[in-house]
Amino acid sequence: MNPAVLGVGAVGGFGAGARALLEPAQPGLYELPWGEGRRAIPAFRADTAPLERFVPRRALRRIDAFSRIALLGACLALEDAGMPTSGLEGLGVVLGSGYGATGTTFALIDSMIEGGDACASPTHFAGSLHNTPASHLAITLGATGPSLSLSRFQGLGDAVLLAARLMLAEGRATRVLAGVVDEVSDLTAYLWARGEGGTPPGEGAAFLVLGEGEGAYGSLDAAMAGRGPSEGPWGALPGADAFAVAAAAVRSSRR
Amino acid sequence: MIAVTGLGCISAAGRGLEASLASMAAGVRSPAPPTAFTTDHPEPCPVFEVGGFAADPALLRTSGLLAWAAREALADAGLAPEDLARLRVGVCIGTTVGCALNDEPFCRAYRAGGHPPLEAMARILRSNPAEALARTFGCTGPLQTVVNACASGTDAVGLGAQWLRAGLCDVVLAGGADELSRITYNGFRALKITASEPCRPFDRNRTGLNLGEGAGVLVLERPGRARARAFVAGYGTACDAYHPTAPHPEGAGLRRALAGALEGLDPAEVAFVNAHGTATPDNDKVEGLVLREVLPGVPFLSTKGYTGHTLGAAGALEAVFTVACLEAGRIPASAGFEEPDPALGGAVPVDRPTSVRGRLALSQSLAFGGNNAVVAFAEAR
Repeated sequence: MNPAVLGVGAVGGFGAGARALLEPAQPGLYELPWGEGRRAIPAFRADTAPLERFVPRRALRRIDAFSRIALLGACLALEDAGMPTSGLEGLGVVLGSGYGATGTTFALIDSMIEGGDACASPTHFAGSLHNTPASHLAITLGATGPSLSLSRFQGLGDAVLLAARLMLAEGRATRVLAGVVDEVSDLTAYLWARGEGGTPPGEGAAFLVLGEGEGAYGSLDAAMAGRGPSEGPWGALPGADAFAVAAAAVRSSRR
Repeated sequence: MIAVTGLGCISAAGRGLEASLASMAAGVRSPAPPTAFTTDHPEPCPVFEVGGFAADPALLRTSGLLAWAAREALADAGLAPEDLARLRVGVCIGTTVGCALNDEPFCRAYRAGGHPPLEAMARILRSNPAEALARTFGCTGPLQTVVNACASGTDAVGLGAQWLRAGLCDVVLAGGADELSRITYNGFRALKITASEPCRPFDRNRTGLNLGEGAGVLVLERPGRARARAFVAGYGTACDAYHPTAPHPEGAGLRRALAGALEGLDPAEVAFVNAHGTATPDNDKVEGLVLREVLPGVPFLSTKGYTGHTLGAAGALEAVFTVACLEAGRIPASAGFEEPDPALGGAVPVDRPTSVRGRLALSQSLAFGGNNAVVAFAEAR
């Protein structure tokens, strides 16, 4: 099956929105604890302020930065597809992440370090699960179809898009929101700072709305065939291949 | 339909399928305070550990448990390493702990102002279960690590069957694996859903779950090459879209997942259901009510009384047990159950080893995030 790309949504160091994927971007800075002080490293950061256009501020209070990035990318993709961002019964969701909610995971461990094992934060524990962003997506969007979360460090985008394609091919959903998300946190920043350097780390989300019909962006096969290298204004992150597919779809847009 | 040609498992119930079935048939279970780690909780909660299991220190214990179960499953399917080299073998594995970048000593050292070496994190990155298993056996087909919390193992079986139907590979190693973790243990205790006693799924006096560890692997392939132990007859999955950690009170997602798994099948042919049955008040209530309404009179059990809740491994372990019990026409007692809960509307699991009749069996999982997944197996006779 070769589904149509009905909408594209993305957020990252390049900004927010489908067209922003094609804009050049310079990394900003991420400050992380470093010994007794702090150190700034280059990083492609995502600004999730536009999320308030889709989700009431009150509802966002208990949603961590990682899930907010995913929510914004997803809502932008749905908006781009001309779909609502609520009441989406039967919508399928496939979401991939390489590192998961590392900021919240660190916060969970911090709560144990500071207060002892009995003070582990239940909120942070629940938020540390890899499928938490998909859960927030389902609740926010009313998406009652299949919900699938995946984790790979290589080939993440391809795995996500394969799963979405099969979900559609087997008739488990008629529309699937498929995307990737990762964040820059103290942990991922430290991995870069202590590692080999290279392309600065990035955070962000890239989503495609897939289904039957005349997609504004052509077919998924065409987007995958037309993708360039995984390097781009999103920085280094496990789902970079999905960002490249999304950018290829936008480049071929009929709009 | 997709054939199940090999089964492998390891958990506190036993090392290997035969040992597991024997201990469950005898009603043996061994919850005990954790020995793999210490905590400063005043009272320990029992867990189900795989005692004496030594894993490759270069990888997470999760990957070691997974490789053990996979070896058993491959041998059961009659697949040797040289066979795998000439086949397109896909790997689809569920986990929770196996993907978490949460090495506690590393985090403590960093938070204390140190510059810990990256090896601890590199070890986690090397241990992504699907990738690690593919490296171990030289698998060249599609890879996927499913992180749908406690439904991950069930989803991995359903997705592996999809790959075969789509012609993406010849064989799939589908399953799940998870190790006990101090962080997970503290997290579940923080949520106040762990029991301070051996767990009692579906019992009136249940107080919560016991964590466990283990792995389950099924070899899936199109029929013909080897003897089929059973067939994957259906798979359903749906999201509650209700709450991050609590199930929908009417089991809305579970009902849809059950309907999906039973599509084209006759519910009257269901011999039994291996339920999720965590022994938490909320899960068992919702699951019991749904089973009573959707599959009235169909025997059901939870095997978590023998294994503990093995999280990402649970669905796979339970799928392995489901296939073996369907073959045998017999299910063990739902360990820990003694007294029916009126709040479950009359839903009562089997309280003794029970002969079952029917062509089909279901294995189902409910998970944080509102994930619900059900796999239907059909007997091979």
